[in-house]
Order: sequence, then structure tokens, then C-alpha cells
Amino acid sequence: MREAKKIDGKPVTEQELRQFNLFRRLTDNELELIRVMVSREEYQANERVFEEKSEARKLYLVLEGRVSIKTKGDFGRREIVIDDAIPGEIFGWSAIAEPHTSTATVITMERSAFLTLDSQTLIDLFEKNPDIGYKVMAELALVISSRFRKVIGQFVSYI
Amino acid sequence: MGKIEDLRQFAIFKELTDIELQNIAEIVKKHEYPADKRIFEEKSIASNLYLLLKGKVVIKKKSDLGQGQIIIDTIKPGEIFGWSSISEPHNFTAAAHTVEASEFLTISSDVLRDLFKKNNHIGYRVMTEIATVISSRFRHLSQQYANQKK
Repeated sequence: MREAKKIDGKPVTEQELRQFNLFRRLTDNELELIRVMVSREEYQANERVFEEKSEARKLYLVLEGRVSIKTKGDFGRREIVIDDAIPGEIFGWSAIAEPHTSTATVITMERSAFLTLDSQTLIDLFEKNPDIGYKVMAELALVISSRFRKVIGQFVSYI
Repeated sequence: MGKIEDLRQFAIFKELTDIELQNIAEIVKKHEYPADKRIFEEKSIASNLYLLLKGKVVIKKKSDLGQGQIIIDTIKPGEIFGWSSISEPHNFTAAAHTVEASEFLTISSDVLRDLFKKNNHIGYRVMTEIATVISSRFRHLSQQYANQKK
């Protein structure tokens, strides 16, 4: 794993953020408060973005590319794929859900570009504007429960 | 109507004030079930969120290969279940059965959503805790799956 290459000088647009369901309930003014906090990062293929059980500090929004989401399970011997994320999807939600520890390892499957949000800055915004917090957390609950359903589907087809 | 003291044992309400808890207490219903009773079936319409006060509940799902049911989770007092009610497509992912005689509270997801819209502080606090619960269950499930795949 290496430090992500930060891309400066190319402002994030409202249009880029609108492709993420996570923000679909926000008004233009609310989205603007998010937009100014967003950074860009780029990774080559087969790079580890973060490790399972590491401290989760950033929420990632996939703009381009694809990542694989993996876990080792309790025995820690071999990583298995539990999901992937493509443009318009997010990962790293543990950054804004306690205990702020990553539930999985994320590896790029191809060259990928992400938007990232620092979790503490985002939580501070939610504390000041609970309406934004509610709308985003309600969508986040949907994202996590949809991933949960997907893993259950894989599990029962395997047993 | 529920009691504020009952609601205090649930982590999802830990950040709420007494007044906000009173708003929740007004919309909950209390139920008592004997042991080994079905609470809801897999794939049925999910319209209530459940909060276990006493007893024990298991969440089960049928295996695709027809080898019985898999226990996905065990719910203890102070924990919630039935969160499919607050997430689309509003169908239960799995079935819930009591293991012991149990007491639980239910909240209509429509009524809860209206309350969240009227009071965004309650909405933000409770939804954050619900996301945390689902995330923790996701972690547990992924690990179970990874363990089984070995």
C-alpha cells in the first residue's frame, strides 16, 4: 500500500457528486457544502487502498475503475472477495460508522479514480446540519443493507 | 405506548434527549411472544422495526441447496432486528423466531420515517446508530462467510 496520488487543481463538480445515490436527497445548497470538502485520488491497478481492521478515516466514492472488497474472516488465512464497487458506488463506510475500523480490505482491480471525504470533516458537517446528516445516513444505511443482502445471497448459495 | 426507561437500553437511542425519547415512546407498541414462535417470515413485507426487550430471537435464512436453515444472527435484549423495514425493497431478508419467551417493541417504519423528517436531529442520531448496527452485522456475516469458505 502507498500514499494515494492526490490530484490537485481540478475542482470537483456538482454533476460528479450527483451520480452518487448517497447524495440524492440533498438540495443544491446542501450538496455545495459537501462539494467543497471533496478531494480526488488516483490509484493504479492492483493497489491496496486500505486494509481490513485498519482505522477508517475516509469515505471513498468511485468515479472511474473498479475495486474488489475482500475479507480474511476470523482465521486470517486467505482473503475472499465479498463484493466489488464500480463508478457511482461507495466504499469505506466504516469511516462514518462506529467503531471506525475497516470491515474489509479494498484493492483496485484496474486503474481507478476516487473522490474522498475526510470522515471527521463530514461528521462535523452532519453535527452542524443534522438534516444533511439524516439524508446521507439514511442512504448509507441503504447501501450497507444492500451489500448485506448480497453477501447473504452468496452465503446461502454456498452452504 | 412505551416507557422511556425501556427505550434507554437501546444503543440506537443513546444520543437522544428525554423529550426526543418521549416522541419515540409515543409510537412504539409492546408485544410478548412465547418461545419457538415465528415473528416474521423471510421475503414477507417489512413494515416494522423490532427492538428486543427480553428473551432471545434468532434470524434464519433458508439455504439455496435445501439443507435447512442457516442462523445468520442471534438477537439479545437491547438489540434491534427487522431493519429491512427501513431500507428498500422493504422485504425481510430472513425470518425471525423466538428462542425463549420474549418481549419486544415494534415501531412502524412509516411512522418512524415521518418522525425523522419532522425532527432531523432524531433522524440523524437514530439513522447513524442504525447504520452502525447494520455495518456491525455486515462485518459478522462477512466473517462467517469467509470462515465457511475455507
